[in-house]
Amino acid sequence: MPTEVVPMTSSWTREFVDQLSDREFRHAYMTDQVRTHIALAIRILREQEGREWSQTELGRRCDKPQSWISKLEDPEYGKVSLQTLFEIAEAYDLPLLVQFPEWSDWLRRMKNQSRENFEKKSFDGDFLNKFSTTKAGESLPTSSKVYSYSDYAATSGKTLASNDSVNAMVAVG
Amino acid sequence: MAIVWEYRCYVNGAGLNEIRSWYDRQSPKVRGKFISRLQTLRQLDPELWVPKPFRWLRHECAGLGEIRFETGNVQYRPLGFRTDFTFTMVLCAIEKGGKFEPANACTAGLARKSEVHADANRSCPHDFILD
Repeated sequence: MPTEVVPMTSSWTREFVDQLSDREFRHAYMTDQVRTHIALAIRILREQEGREWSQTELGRRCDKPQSWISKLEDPEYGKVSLQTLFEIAEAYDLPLLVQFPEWSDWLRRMKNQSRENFEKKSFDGDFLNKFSTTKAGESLPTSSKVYSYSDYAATSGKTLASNDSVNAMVAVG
Repeated sequence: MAIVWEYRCYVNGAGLNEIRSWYDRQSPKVRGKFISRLQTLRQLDPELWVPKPFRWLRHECAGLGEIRFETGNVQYRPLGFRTDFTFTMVLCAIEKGGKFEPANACTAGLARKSEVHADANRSCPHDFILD
């Protein structure tokens, strides 16, 4: 049976949905949110405590000039390619996620554009190992596979943003 | 703790919300982008109100800042000023070849800023739908 995923709490008003009913408005809004999200993410990750890189430093790690980074941090720059994002991801040692979500999921995810929501930790094997199996191919008991919010917060030492899917979504049916 | 900026709009002597009036005359594409920018900027720390999404102006425009976005090869520049965590939009200009249209955008914007400071009724809370 298919699982329907619905938001537990609404993050938007009926008036906002009415506004989105215009297709041109909707896609202009969505495109700008995504572009701004990418530009802000690149900048905030660069400035994040522990990195504090200049544009020149990030450029050096991508083997690109500072001016290239400056363009990427401009929401109006419309030529960010998937390859570019992979290069930035490698520089930050972060994975990249590209999806075509449904509107409800997208709106909820894009809601929080605070600095804290953009800051991400680079690859950390010790942290990942806290969630790994003890031996390759060996499954953990079912009860150990699902981590609650409090378990995650206690283990990671960080709280989830309000728009994190695990916190705001519930599976129905 | 997350910051949430407030927006206000300039109201002219006849009681018309000039920013809302400008918005209502724009295409859906411009409206969509403008709403997106307002949504984003209101969550940003003050140090992130910088180029490219925003720029504080200098020289004859000092005291004003511009929200910067482009749609259909037109550079839109809603101008306003900051008081604490409130950004009051006073005039919506466009930029062509490094110059504002209308050409007196800064002078007019600063005059409107003075009007708002002198009379609280010359601005009102925004009524854009951001949530």
